[in-house]
Amino acid sequence: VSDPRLGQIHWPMPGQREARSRALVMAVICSLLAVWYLSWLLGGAHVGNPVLFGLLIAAESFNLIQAVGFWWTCSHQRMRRGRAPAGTDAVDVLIPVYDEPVDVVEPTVAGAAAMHGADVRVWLLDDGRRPEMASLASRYRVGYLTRENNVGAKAGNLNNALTMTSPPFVAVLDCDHVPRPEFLERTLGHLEDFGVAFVQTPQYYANGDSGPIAAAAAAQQNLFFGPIARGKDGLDAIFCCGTNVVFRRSALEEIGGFSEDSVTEDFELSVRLHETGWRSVYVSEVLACGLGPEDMASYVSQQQRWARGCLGAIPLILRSKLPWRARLQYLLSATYFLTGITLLIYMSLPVIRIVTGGQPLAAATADQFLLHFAPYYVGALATVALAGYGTYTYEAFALAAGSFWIHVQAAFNSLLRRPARFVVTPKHGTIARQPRAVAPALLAVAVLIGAAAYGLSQSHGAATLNNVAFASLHATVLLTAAIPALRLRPSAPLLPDPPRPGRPAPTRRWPKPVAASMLAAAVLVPVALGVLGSKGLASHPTLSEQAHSAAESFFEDYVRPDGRVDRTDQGDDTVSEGQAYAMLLAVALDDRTRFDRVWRWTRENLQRGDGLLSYHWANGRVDSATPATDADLDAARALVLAGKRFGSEEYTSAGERIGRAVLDHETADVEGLPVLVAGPWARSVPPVVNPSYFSPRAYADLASADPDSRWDDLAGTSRAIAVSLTSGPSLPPDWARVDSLASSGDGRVSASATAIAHPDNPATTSASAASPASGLDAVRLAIRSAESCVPADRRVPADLWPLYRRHPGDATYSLSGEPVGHLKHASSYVAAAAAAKAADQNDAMRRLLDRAAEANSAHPTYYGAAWVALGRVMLTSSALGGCPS
Amino acid sequence: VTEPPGSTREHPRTVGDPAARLRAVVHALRSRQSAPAAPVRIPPATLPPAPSPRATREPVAAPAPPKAELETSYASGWRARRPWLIVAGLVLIGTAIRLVLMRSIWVDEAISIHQAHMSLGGMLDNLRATDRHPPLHYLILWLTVRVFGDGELAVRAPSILASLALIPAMFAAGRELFDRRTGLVAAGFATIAPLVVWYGQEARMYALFMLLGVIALWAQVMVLRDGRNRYWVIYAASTIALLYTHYFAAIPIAIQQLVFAVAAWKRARAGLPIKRLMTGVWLTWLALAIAIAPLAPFAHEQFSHSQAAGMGFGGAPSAAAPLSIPGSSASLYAILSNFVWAIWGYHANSTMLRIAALWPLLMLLSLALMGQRRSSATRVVLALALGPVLILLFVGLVKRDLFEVRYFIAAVPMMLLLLARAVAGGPRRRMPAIVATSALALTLLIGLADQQLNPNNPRAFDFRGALDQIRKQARPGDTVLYAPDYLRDVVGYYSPGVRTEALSDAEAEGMPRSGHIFVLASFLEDPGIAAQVGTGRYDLGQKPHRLVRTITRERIRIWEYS
Repeated sequence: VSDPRLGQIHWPMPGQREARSRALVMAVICSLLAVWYLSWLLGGAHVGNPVLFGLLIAAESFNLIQAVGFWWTCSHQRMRRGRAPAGTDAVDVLIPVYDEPVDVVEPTVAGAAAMHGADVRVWLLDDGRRPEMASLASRYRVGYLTRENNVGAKAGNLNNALTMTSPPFVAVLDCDHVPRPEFLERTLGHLEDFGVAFVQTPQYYANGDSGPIAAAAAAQQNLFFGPIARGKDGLDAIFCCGTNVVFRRSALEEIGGFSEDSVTEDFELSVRLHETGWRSVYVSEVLACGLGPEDMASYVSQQQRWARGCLGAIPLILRSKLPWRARLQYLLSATYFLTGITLLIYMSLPVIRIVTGGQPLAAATADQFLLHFAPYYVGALATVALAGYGTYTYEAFALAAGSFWIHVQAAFNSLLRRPARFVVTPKHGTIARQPRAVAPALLAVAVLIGAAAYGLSQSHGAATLNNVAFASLHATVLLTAAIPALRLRPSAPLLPDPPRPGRPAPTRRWPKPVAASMLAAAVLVPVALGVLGSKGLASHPTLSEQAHSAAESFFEDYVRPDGRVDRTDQGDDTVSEGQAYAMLLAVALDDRTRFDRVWRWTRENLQRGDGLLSYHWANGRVDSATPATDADLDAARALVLAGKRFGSEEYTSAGERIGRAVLDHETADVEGLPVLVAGPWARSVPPVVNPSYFSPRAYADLASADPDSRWDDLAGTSRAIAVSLTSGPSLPPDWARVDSLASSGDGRVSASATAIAHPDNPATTSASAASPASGLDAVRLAIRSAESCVPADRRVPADLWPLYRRHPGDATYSLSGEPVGHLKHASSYVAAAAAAKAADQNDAMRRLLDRAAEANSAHPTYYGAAWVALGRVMLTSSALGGCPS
Repeated sequence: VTEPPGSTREHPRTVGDPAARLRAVVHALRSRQSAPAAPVRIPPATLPPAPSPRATREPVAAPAPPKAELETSYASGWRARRPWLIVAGLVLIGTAIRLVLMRSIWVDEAISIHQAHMSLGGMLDNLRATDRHPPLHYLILWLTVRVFGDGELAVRAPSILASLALIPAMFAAGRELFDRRTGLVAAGFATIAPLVVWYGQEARMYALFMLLGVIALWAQVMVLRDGRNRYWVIYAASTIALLYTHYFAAIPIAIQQLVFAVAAWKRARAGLPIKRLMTGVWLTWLALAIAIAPLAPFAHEQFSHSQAAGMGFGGAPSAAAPLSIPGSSASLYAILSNFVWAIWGYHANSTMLRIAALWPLLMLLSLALMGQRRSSATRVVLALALGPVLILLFVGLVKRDLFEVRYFIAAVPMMLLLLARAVAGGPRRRMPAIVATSALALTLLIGLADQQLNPNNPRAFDFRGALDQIRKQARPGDTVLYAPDYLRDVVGYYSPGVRTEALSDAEAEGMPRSGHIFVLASFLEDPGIAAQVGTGRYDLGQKPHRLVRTITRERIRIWEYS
């Protein structure tokens, strides 16, 4: 059989019980998985860029609503079979035509004329007013109706026919839908129920084998007229689809016939019928076979009409007095055509991440995301596959995805209330290329591939690769839809395209500039939003608003555009320590641009040949090339963290280099064990240490990048020295000398260290005139130790809590904890907060951090601003790496 | 309506006669009613039809085609032998790949070699008391050592041969399950698949595990298709050998029994006789029960000893994988990493993280699978590929060590079969199939090269190089202290020519007082081992010792003290 409409039918028709229970089980599973995913997503701890996060949540929410609607619908499937009428009723069969070729229409007329089970009167409603149609009607002895104008397009044509015929039932067939002889026998029985307004049957595309687009369109139809339409019937909400339907004339007359203002007159008609109390029936048997779009232009034309019509009907649905189930079903169907907007969001996210670094989620490992997202995704996909009994294909999905721009366009037009125009879906495929029909999708592909290429040129890190993979995923799906339109079809369409006088030849023009600009804007606006968002708003998830604000303030007040940290309160000079603080804060903010800027300045201006950083820069040059261990250690840590966060090997290796230099030049060997000294100058015997330089988290981070057992050794010796200096308890001194170390058999290290007043003279002790003090240097020991994941490290600040609690915030203390002088300093409050945190006094910690911020607002200093921000980051977030639970 | 498209236009009788046209349409419409009633559902087959009309592959119930038909359908001579010649060529290539760049013996292999040096009874006793694997591979190794000695090539010969035999086995299985082209592509993949090569070069049981798994699958296909006794014998023998090779072989064996059950159920539902099939299954079970009876007490003793040692079943301290390898814990990234290992082999941690980051491409794969009809053969292979992974994943939630690609390595050839099917049988046209096959083969080759050559491969331990270096520098009277303790056998295998001792023993009994001391340490990612080594080095750092130099090899560090 050459005409596919007369060929075999492949239509899965499962049992009602099986289909319902299958869908119900999947619905329950998927609902649980959706809760699992969304509760994690909305948990509050994963907000990256708020704008992008909001867009992601909006898209996910919309799609979840659609998915839930699908599960709900499928679990109510009603497998209604045909029912023969008791008597022989008169039925008008209306076949509207416009410009379709005779060979498309003829089988339909022949099939309609051959229908039995009723007193059939076939009418060919020719808006084209063509002699060949009159001849066709004459040949088959069917009625032929024309009118003077084409007002109301198809709806007007049908309404015109209704005024000229009288039987109680009216069947409507699109001119390409060939009915089976038993069409009326299987449908009219349901109309014996006087409350039923119409009986709908599937719109089956028989030409699925004629090409990829026809196959994909057929698969889409099979999903809709399979589980979805059966479910809508089960929920008493099946709507008329414009063809293969039998109406009760009185119902049509009651509501005034078909709406001539809509391009989807059938949809609005159904709303009005249901609103007035009529019911509808769906017979899930293929009783007529039609032709789906065979080329992309036809498909686009059809989708544009459907999208525009359905979206335009939303106000009507909202205003209507439909039962709630029917109203929801109508809304689900109408809003489906907003799906393209969510796809646009999904496509934009990897582009934005690659180009700007902004991302919707942060502080969530890929594993965490996958753990929550993957089950939901797989469940949702499996439900579509199972509910559709394998009829829904990848190509169908890709074709729907490739139509995203149609949805966007339709949404814009609906919002702007632009009038829609009824366009007949072409029934013939063309063999020509149709780039115009896929131009917007190709534009999106170009953006995605361009972003992916740009990302790969910038970094090969895991984060970038992940986004490149997402971009590639979207590009591949879009290309799957677009490629058939770019190829000459290998063979002529199944039904030849007849010459049509007056019909313009297929054009190969690209989209009009205005349309192209709008689509480009639709792609670029989210990108721009991302840029703005990443620059102006929060971008790290675990940072509280206060931590974020403090970090931003530090950057605004002290970091110059070229990446130099300017100590504006100390003569506009720069110290390596400040650069390292800015680098840590940039990592915490997840801001690669800033990090790169600060590190570039540091590398170009401060880094020495051995990898360490010169300590002091002023008046445009290095003032002192002596390194300071704390700055080197913090910078190395920041680089290693940045390497992981931003997926940059370059950062990691730079961090490893500084780390190795610290081990080689800034540690002293004390009885076989390394000790972190204050700088290369402090390695003399006895070695001089600044306890506040000890950073257990830095040791751990650097050890993870460059396994060297000396990092572990440093953790042990630093802890031992800190314990030695704070036992009593006593506040840590700014400076100390290490007298001895001892290691017990079980690997524990003990230390003997003495507080000194000044590093230049290790011999000075507390007994000397210049007593050692616990000043603004020493405050950092509590903070860095409280940040540690090792309980033994956290015990050091916990033991200091009683001392800090008595007099928090003083700039200088005696070692016994008495304030020296009356100056207060923000960093000292942060130290007290760290001690409180280590002692599990979280309320106190928060209060003290707030007081630190207040103190710095009252007397702003570079050092105070840095530690207010770092304190919040280190003590209240995992932005610099969390501890394993 | 039977004319080609457009012909009605030129057919005056049809076009000019509407009644005839109407009759034709009505006839066509009515004729559909005699077609199978909707839904048109293809009855599920137990296994796919034979890809070529060989009588031996026809279902038992089907009548055999006439002999003359068989002869004409057979490809004869060169054409018939050509696939096997290609397979032979692949085996040659596979041999070359497995023999070049052979890496150092590693810890588990050294332990096995040490056990193979014992008397047969002693080895079995040792296995009962200290090991967690059934004895088949150890027995083969024991025999190999007796015949060929304990050189690297000799002890690995059984694995090399098993992994080479896997190539024709994959061809046979692929051909019987799908078609000849798929079989050839599967054989090609088995030649270069990184993990197949890796374990083909290791004196352990994993190559044998893979080979036997494929033979058992092939035999099951033949049993279901042909039912002759010899296939039943091959199936039973391979299944028994599987259980004697690795305890986790019970998982694919159980899946295959399920396949038998489903096949019997479907045949019964279709009204086909199942007596012969069920008899074969029962006899196989009987043979299995008899054959594994001696294994049960053996396994019980191993289990008891492991439990008593607090290690639990399957927890192999000697095989401790570096903890920092992505995928060593049961998580979704672990699953991804294990899948990547299974197909593309072992790679540096940073590479693994990058590959795992490409997981969105799996979404593309899942979308592409929508609407694809899967044959019964695909379902069987899919079950054998995914079943062990999923089961061990759940087991791994309880005991993390057990979710590890080695333990479901029999699934690796199944994954390769599926990939071969996807690229060779998926595309409808020839050129896309060639492009897809070549592209996948290229990725396998890249994976193989990186696995074999990249020094950052976390599974590569250069004990040979490290101990060679010590041997060159050591003088009589010097001592090698190693940590952790389970390096004893590998240190013994590559004997450095001087006294060796576990660092833990030396710390307990006192450090050597004379000569140079070489501290050889590995698995330093383990904090416990790092601490042990750190303490030892601290002790050595005290006078009179002095650190002379440090040496770093792949995953091994050496400190030399004078």
